[in-house]
Amino acid sequence: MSTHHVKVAIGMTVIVAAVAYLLLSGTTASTMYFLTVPEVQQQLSALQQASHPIRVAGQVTADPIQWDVRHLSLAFRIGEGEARLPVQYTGVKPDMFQAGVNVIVEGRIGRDGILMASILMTSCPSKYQDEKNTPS
Amino acid sequence: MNDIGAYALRCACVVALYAVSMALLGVRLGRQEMIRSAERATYGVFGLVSIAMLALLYALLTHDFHLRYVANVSNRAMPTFYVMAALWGGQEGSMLLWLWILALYSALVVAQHRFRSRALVPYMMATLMLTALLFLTMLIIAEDPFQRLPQAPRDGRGLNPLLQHPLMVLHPPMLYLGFVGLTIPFAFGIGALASGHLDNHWLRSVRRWTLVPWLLLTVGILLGSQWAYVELGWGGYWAWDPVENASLMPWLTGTAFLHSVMMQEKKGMLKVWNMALVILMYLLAIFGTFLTRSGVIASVHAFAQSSLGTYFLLYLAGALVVAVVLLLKRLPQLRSDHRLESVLSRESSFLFNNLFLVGIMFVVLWGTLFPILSEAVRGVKISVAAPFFNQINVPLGLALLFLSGVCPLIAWRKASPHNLRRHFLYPLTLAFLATAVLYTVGMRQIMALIALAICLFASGTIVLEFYRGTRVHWLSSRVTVVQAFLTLIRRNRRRYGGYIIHFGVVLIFLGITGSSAYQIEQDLVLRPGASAVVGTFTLQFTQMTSVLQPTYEGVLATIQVSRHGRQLTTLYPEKRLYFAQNQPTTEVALRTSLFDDLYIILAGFEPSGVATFKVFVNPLVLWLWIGGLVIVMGTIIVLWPQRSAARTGDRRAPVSVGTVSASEESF
Amino acid sequence: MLDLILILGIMLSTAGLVGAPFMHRPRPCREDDTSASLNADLLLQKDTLYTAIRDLEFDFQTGKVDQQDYAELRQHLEREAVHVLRLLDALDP
Repeated sequence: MSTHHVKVAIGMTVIVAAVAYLLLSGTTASTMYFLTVPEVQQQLSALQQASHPIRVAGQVTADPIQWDVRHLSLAFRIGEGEARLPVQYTGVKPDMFQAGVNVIVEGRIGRDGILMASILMTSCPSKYQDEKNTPS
Repeated sequence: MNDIGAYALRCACVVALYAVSMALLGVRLGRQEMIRSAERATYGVFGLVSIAMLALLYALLTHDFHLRYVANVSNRAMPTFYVMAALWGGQEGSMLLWLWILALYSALVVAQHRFRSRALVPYMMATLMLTALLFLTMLIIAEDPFQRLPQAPRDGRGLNPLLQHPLMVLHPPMLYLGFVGLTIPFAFGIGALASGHLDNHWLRSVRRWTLVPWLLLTVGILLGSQWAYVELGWGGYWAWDPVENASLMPWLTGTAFLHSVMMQEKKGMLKVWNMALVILMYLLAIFGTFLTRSGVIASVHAFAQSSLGTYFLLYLAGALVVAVVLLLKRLPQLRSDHRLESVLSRESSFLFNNLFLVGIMFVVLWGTLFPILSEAVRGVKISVAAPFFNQINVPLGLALLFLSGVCPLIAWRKASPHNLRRHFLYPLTLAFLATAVLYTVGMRQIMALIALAICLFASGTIVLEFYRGTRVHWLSSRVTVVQAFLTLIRRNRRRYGGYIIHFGVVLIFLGITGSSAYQIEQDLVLRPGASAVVGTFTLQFTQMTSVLQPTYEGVLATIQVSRHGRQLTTLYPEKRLYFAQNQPTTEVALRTSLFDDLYIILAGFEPSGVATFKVFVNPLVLWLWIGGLVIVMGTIIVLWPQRSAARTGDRRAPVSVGTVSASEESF
Repeated sequence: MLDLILILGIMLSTAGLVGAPFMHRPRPCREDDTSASLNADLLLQKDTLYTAIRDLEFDFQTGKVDQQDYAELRQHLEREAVHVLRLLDALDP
């Protein structure tokens, strides 16, 4: 194998190794658990302690929704079955947002058991109808 | 009338089946008339599917709410333009569109090869018609656009107002023209493998048949991002959503192939790799369609209940097996003709470029599939969102951009290091100087500085290439600089068209860097008459008005925009409620300029008149769309037909090998 | 009624379209004549070599390849091209 081929092989290996490294470190660092509300309730204390951000999918309950326009602050509860989780979100209220709508929230659960959401997405059964509201 | 549509589809199914059988039988028995019959059957499928499309269109335009599809996606109040666009606004209709485009391309390819590449044609037809059968089966069994309702409602539901936007009308057809187009190279590849005719003839046809879908896919992706930016109202244009990723993956693979195919054409290298890429493009295109249709990403359980998913997956598995078996069978014939002569050559930089592109594609695939896989394997659902993709793809993308700056400086086969160093000097110095200036002026974000430096470097090398090439032509003949420039491009369409495409990509990177690194986001709470400052803009909220239209009612805020005391424009962010779907929407108000976009959302309002606005200032976003246009221009130059100079005809032409015929094309 | 006529029409035209090749019985086209395909292959090789020479020429003029490499590579390519042309001549009856 000539020196040229060796050099090319080295170049290729470097690139593949870089991709692999980035992939693995990204998978461990930037992914998070995607839980349902009952699962959150089960693991509540563990989640509060660990304070990792998590993603939760649930349905907005019929409980009163507090929407403060001036501070763009939204307080509501999501649920599934019997389980309930209070959520606090700061940002623009998604157009589709109302009781009964399926949502996905992302954030940390504090000592008070409230999920402080940095991301709130409503999802509709048919495609094209997702809305995203993400602060920078 | 609609029975015609349903009937036409079923007929098309039979005819497609006939085409597959005749094609394969004909090639097996060596009977030309069977193959010719299969060709006509391919035309027949196109005709029949067209009839079905027309029937559906007719039903839409006549508001025939007997059809469930028509009742779902249209209503009487919708403007005619959108009623027509509703043809692909829903699941069943868009599958029909996919099928129609496939039938169209198949007919075109078959017609194009009436007298060419005859050995490959039967297998190509079989491949294309089998793909058509997949969609025909789904359309007939699971997603029938012609399904009737027991009782026709008085009025339909109507298209989702978010989709009633010119960008969203163009985006699906563009995307499909791209996706479906990538089945053609696959058909060629299977044809070459199955027939054993593995020389480079098929590559020439495949190049064009990849470049056109690639271009359309590029436009489709950019249109989709633009729509997301303008309609979805979250201030961004790309979220690494599974649906978005599904369109990006075949694009990345296609870009890789467009480069590596040149290696095969020139040096007979990378034959197996190219075949693998062609297969991958096809599988990703089908997989991408499957991802956006079956809702599998949302939840594995939803997927398990959807019949659509099963069809797709079985088909994908089958196609993969067939392709791999054929590839392995022909492996001995696919060995390289030549070897790499130098690490410092355009060949090796193309090799590296391919690794990066396929690497990025793999990262996107991983990120998209990881949630499903982890749920299926471990029962634990993991979510992979934008940070993952950005963290990994940004460095890889920048490395790729840098490579695209280096590559034009390197010659084919073997470049001389000291020439290279000399040519590196100017663009590199320019990049360094500019970066240093920006740093001193106050720009401190490292990533943005690096990105900008690389953009400058890449632009520098492109400009240098044009300069050097023009100079050669200008010196060698008595023409003006402009004429030399045009001759340069005319004689080297692939090379210089390619450089223009690269420049478009640089502009896109520029836009992405500006809008990601320097975005300003601010919430404003204003009562009517009040002003606020965001970035360099002064915004005055003058009044709130009510709006009533036939299809919606809403609230409109008037905002006066000025900068340094000078009045710029008036913006009207809005909130609407569409009656038919009972759906509220937010209409973003946008002011675009070369420097930045001012993006205002009406977040909410109180009865007292106080309103809250979310304001974004997104620098350099316009360059994303400008870059897209540049890519289109560059691709058109590459595709422009060559003044034919008896390519394969006149081998008796006087050959003084000292000078070479000037009308031949090269890269 | 109209539907039925249209459907019948579609069926007949499709059958006609697809069945026509069986009516004419053309000679089985022996396109895969070995010498013809060899000819095509050689022409393709010639094309590729000419393109490579042109690339090289252009790269030299724009200063990417130095004199020595250029001379070597050019000689090599020209030798191959002459070889291919000789083969093409041999094929010509």
